[in-house]
Amino acid sequence: MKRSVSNLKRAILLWRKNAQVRLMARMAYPGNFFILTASVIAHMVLNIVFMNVIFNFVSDFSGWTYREALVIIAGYMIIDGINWALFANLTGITRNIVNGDMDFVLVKPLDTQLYVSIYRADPEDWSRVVLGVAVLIYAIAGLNLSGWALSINLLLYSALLLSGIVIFYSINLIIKSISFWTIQGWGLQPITEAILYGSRFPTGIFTHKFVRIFFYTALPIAFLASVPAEFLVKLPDFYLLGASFLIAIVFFYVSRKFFYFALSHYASASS
Amino acid sequence: MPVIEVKNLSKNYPYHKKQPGLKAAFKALFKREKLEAEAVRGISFKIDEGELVGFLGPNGAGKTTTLKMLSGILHPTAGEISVLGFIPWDRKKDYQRQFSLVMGQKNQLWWDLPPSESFLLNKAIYEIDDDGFKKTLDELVELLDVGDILNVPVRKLSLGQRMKCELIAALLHAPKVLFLDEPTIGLDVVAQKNIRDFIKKYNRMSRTTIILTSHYMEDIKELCRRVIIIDQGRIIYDGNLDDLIKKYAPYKELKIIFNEKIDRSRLEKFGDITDFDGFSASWRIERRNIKAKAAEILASDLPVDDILINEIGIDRVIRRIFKNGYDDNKIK
Repeated sequence: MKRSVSNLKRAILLWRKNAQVRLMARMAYPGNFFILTASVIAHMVLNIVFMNVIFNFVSDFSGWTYREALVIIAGYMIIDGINWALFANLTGITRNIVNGDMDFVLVKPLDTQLYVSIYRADPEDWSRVVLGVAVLIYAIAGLNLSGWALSINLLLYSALLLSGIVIFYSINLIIKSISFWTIQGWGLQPITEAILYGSRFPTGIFTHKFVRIFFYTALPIAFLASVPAEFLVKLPDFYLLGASFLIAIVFFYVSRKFFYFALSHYASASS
Repeated sequence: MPVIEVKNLSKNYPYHKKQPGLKAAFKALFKREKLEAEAVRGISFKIDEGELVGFLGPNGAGKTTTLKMLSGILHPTAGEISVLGFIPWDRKKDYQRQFSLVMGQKNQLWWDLPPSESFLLNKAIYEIDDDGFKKTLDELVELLDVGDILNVPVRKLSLGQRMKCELIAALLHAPKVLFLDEPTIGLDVVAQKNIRDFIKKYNRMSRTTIILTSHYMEDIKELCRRVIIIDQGRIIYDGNLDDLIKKYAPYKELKIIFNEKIDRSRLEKFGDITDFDGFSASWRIERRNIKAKAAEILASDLPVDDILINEIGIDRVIRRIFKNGYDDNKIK
């Protein structure tokens, strides 16, 4: 237990140091830094515009009102932001493999999965998280929630969102690990993006039984943003709470095993 | 007890045969012929603590692949390695804290930041305490004379300055074993000399075990008493550098300079001439006969102005070995 706490402390310290270095590197080019931040914010705002366009034509979307649907969008924005702000290097695994930079990751006395995940962080993407939280606050303000009910629902929402972050991280890691075989793995990035985009919609749109089972188990995008939102604004099925945590643990375990299996196929690059 | 022990180590790389042309590329999308390249073929060697061993070989000989297996980056196809008692590809943290790898062709410093930031990151990674970090950094900065560039972004540094900073980053945690893969590649002669002097001094001071690969014979000549020559994945020589020269270059070059133009026919009785331009001539003479032959020429009626006895250069010895293989290696 003591060792795990010390490892976690070290991981946080390293992530902080890495993020600091990355932020300084980003700010070494002020023009690019401001453009990047602006484009990240614009990308997030577009999601809200997209939702507004839909609700200009309908009063509810698969049983969700505008404000309720915004809670899902906020969850998606937070997961997306955390994914980039903490684990941006997963996107770059392909680059690390192609040019052999993975060599230097592998010789460091660190947990390889951890270091591969946090080796490069994109600090400007915290703006996605901030924007997501702002949208969440705005959405909650328009709902009839207050007092204890709000506190408990928010607690459950946070726990489930954390679970959603773990699930998405694990799916992302499994997909990006395929690069160890394909070497050039740029085609994998749109897959993870499509999975994350899919999480912006309420689970009610999965009307067919098999589609529903698929998105709750094999590719559990239902647990990313939609199920946490259900716990905040609707009367949810409480078994989903346990299911979300169980899936997060299973997916994290499988992704870790798969990553190390894939890593054993690393062939490095010629020097 | 050896620090590094390698037994029957092999590494095969799978690759796909590719035919030229668009049609072949399209066909290869569905059906490709898989082949295997044998990068390293059953090599064995031992290295003791504090040794500085030169790894020599032409491009694609298997030098870097071997270093990558010793560092735990690559899993071997067959064979065993023990470095400091560890199996490298187990990637135990206790092992990773005790070695370092520097690749002359790759950069591990943060490109847009000063080297000092990368050093601080390594301090966190290797959990170096404040006092130890400061002491080691000060020593290395002084040895490499880089005090004035620590706060300059890496992208603004020259290749030589960058390599010095790469070495500092690699040595901050005081590794017991150091793998240097062509650390002087692309550097000008002055920068090469600086790096060589540093490696020599560092090895002497710290007793760090070092394996050095290089294409530059000057690096090997100046730094390594022992060389391992690897070609097509096989070790073709492992031993003392001086012995290599004596064994595979049993000749010396005798060069005579004359103070007037001379006819070649007057010189042929002294042996096969290897070079002649009218005012000078060279012979390749067996080591044991060189003094007698020089005396014989001096005692003759030839108008000798100067006499030079040269060793056959290690460059030529190695070049010849690579070109002709180990069995036909005597320098003629």
